[in-house]
Amino acid sequence: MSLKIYVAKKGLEIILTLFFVLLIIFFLVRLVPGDIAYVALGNAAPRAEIERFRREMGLSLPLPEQFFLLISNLLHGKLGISGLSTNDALSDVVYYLPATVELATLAMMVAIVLGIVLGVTAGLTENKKIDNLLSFFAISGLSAPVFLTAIFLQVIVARLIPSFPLIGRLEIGYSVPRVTGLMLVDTLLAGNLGAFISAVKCLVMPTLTLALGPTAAIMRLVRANTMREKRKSYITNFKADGLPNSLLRWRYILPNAISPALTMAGLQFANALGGSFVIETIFVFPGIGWLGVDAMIAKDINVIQGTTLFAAIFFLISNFAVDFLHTYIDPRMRFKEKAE
Amino acid sequence: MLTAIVLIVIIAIAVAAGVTYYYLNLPSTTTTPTSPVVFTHISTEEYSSLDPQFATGAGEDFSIMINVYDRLFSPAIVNGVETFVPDLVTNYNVSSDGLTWTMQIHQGVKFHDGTEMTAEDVVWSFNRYLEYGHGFSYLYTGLIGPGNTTALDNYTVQFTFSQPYTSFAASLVRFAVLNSKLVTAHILEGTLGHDWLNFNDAGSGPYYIKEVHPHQDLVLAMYVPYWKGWASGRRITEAHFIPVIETSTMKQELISGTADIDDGWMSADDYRSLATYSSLVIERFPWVQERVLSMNNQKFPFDDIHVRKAVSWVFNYTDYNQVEEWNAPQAQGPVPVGLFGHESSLFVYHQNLTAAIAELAQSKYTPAQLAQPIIVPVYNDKTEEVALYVADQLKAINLTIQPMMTTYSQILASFALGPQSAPSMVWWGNTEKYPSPDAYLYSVFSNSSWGTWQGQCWYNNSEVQTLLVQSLHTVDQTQLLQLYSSIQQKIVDDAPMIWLANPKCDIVVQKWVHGFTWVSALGEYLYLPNFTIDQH
Repeated sequence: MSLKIYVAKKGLEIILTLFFVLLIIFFLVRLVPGDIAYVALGNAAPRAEIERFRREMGLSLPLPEQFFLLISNLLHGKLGISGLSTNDALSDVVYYLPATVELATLAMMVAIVLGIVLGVTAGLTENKKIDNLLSFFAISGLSAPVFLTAIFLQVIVARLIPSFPLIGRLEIGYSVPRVTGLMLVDTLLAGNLGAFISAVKCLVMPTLTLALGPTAAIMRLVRANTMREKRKSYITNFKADGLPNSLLRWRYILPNAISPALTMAGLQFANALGGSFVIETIFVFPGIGWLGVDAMIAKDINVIQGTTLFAAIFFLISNFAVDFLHTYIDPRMRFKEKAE
Repeated sequence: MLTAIVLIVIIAIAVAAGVTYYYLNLPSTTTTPTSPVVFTHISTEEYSSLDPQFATGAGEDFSIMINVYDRLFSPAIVNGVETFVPDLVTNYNVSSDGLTWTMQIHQGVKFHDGTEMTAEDVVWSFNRYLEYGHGFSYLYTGLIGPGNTTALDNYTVQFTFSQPYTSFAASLVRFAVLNSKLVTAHILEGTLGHDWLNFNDAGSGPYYIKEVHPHQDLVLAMYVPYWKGWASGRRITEAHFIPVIETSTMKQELISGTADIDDGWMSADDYRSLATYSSLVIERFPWVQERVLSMNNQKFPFDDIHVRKAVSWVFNYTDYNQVEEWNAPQAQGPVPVGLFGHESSLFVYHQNLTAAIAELAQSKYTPAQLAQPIIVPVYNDKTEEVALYVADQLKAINLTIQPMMTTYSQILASFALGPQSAPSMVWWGNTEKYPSPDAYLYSVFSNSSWGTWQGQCWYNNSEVQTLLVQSLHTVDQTQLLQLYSSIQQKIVDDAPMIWLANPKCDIVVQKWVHGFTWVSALGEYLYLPNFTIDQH
C-alpha cells in the first residue's frame, strides 16, 4: 500500500468517524432536558422573546432539519450561534482552543519525559526499593481521579506558598495582547519576561495534575517493556560476549523498551484533552474544557457540539499520527503494510 | 553506572527545581510598572453580558453594571427598610393622575470618554431599553413604549405612561444610562449595539472597563474624574472579577488571600468552615430574599387549600432554618422582612401536627389519593437535600415526596407548558431585584405571571387579582401601603406557598478590606467606591 493510499484511507476513516460522532452528539444533546433560551434570556424573559430566540437558534425545526442545518453550517465553516455569547460557536471554540492545546501539550511533554525516565529506572531496578516506590507512584497516579489531585495540589500549595497562583493563565497585574492565544508564546512575543514567568507559574499546577495520569501510564508500560527486553536471549548473548552493561542498556534495551510508549503517548494526549474538562474548571483555565462545561450547564447546544467535535478531532488526529509514525519507526509495520 | 545516572538525574531535577523556585518567587514589583490598589472578586457565576440593559438574573451582571454605569435611582436602606433614593436624579415629580414622571438630572456628569451626559442620553437609553426588550424592560410592557419619553431641556426628562405605574422609580434602579453618541456609532454591531457593548464601555460610573477576558477575568479601573468625587482612604483602583465554578477553588483562593471577597453563593457548610480561619471575616446580613416552597395551586394535590394548609402546619420551620439556612429567621409572608411595604402583622405558621391532620381531614382527596407520590424536581445537591428534608417532614401526614433530578433550565421551561406540566412543588429563592413589593406580589401572584418562573404557584384569587392590578396604578403612598397590607393578608389566608426563610447573606472578605456596606438588591453589595483596602 502506497503512502498516498494509506493517508487517503485513514482520512476517509476520520471523516466517517466524525460524522457518526456528530450524529451521536446531536441526539444526545437533545435528549438532555432543558432549554438554552431560558438560560440565555433569563428566567423572567417574556414568552414571546423565548419563542423568538428558539426560532433564531433553529430549535423549533424538526430534528432532521436541525441536523442538516448543522451539517450545512459546518460545510460553511460555522457551528451555529452560541446562546450564551451570541457569537458563532466555532469562533468561540477556536478562541479557547489554544489554551487547551498549550496545557495538554505541556502536560504530555512532562508525561513523556517523566514516564520514560521513571519507567526505565523502575525496569532496570526491578523489585528493588526504588522500583517499589516508583510502582507505588504509578498506581497512585493511575488511580487518583484528576479532580482529587487538583484539589489536593491546591490545598497544599495554598498553604505552603500562598502567593503562588491557584487559578487563571496570568497573575493579576499582567496583561499581554493576544496573538496566538498560547500564553507562553504571546508573553514572549510581547517581550514581557515578568508575564512569561507568571504564565509559567500559572501552568505549573494544571500541567502537573493533567500529566500525572499519562506519566503513570507511560511509566508502567516502559517499565514492563524494559523488564521484558532485558530478559531476551540476544541480551544474554551480548552479555556472554562481554559487552558492558551500560552499552547494553542504552544501545539495545532502551530503544526497544520506549518505542511502544509512543502509541501510549498518542492515546494519552487525546485523554489529556478530555481530562482538561475537569482541570480547566478547577484551575479556572479558560480553554475548550471550561467552555464545554459552561455550555453543558447552560445546555448551549451548538457550543457543546463544537467542543465535543473538536475533542473527537483531536483524538482521531493523534491516533492517526501515532499510526503514521509507527509505520515509519517500526520496520515490521511497514513490512506488514506491504504484505497486504 | 545506573545508580550514578539516577543520582545525576535526581541532582539535576533538584537544581532545576531550586532555580525555578528562585525565579518564580522573585518580587513581582520588578515587572509590574505601577502599584494599583487591586481588589479581586471571585464568583460562582460569570456575568452573562456587559451590555447593562441585558441581564435579569445574575448578581454578577448587576455588580458590574452599578460600577460602570450610573442610574437614575439606586437602592438604599433608609431607616432600616430597603427602598430607593435618587442617584442621577436631583429631583422628580409625578403628575396627579400618575401618568407623567418628570425628572431633573445632575449637571456636569461626564461619560468615560469625556462627553457630558444630557437628558437626550437618558431618553435614548430608555428607548433602547424598551426596543431591545431585555433586562427588566418587560416591567413596562403595556405601560410605556419607545417614543413616550422626551427631553424637556438638557437636564430634564419626561416619561409619559398610558397607565400609572407606582413602582417606576424603584424599577429604575436596574436601568443604566448609556452614552448615546458612542453606542449610536456602533449600533449595527449586534442588536442595537449589543455585541459592541459586550466588550466595551459606554458608561459614566466610578469605574471603567479596562480589560475583558471572557471566562477568565474582567478588569475595571478607577475613573478618577468621577462626578461624585472620591472619599479619602486607600480606594480600589483596579478591580478584577473572576468566575470560579468550583467551590473548593474559591475556598482556597480566599484562604490563600489571593481573592478579597466572594459572591455569597457558597453553601452554609462552606461558610461555617471558612469562619474558622482567623484571616477571614464572614459578613452576615439580613437578606431581602424569600426562600419558599411553592405549591402548584392548580394541580393535584395542592389545588386543595386544605392540603396546602396541612403542609404549612406540618413543617418544622425552626429546624429547617437551623439546618438548611444556618440559623436564618423564618419568613413572615410574601414580602420579605426589611423591604418597604412588608406587613408585620401577618399570621405566621409554626409546626402543629394536630392542626395539620385536622386540615387534611377536610381535604376533597381521600387518603388513598393523597398517598400518590408528589414529584419534586431537583437540579443540584442543595435542592435535592431540601427535597429529601421536605419528604421527611411530610411523612407525618402521609404525603410522599419523590425528588426527581432534572436541570434548572428544564424547570424554567416547564412553567411555560401550563400548570399541569409545571412542577407540583418547587423550592425557590427570590432575591430582591428592585426595591418594591411589586417584585414579590404582582410579579408572583398575578395571573399575568402564569407561565413564568415567578408565577410558579399558579395562584388564582379574583379578589386579590383586582387588588394587585390596583396596586400597580396607585400613586398615593398611604393608600398603596394599605393595599399592600390587604393583599398580603389575603394571600396568607390562601396559603399558596410555604414561606420558609428570609436567609442571611454571608459574604467572605479578607481582614484588610473595609467599608463593606450591605444593600440587599442583587449585586449591590459590591459598589466598589465604598471599599478601602489596607496595605497588605
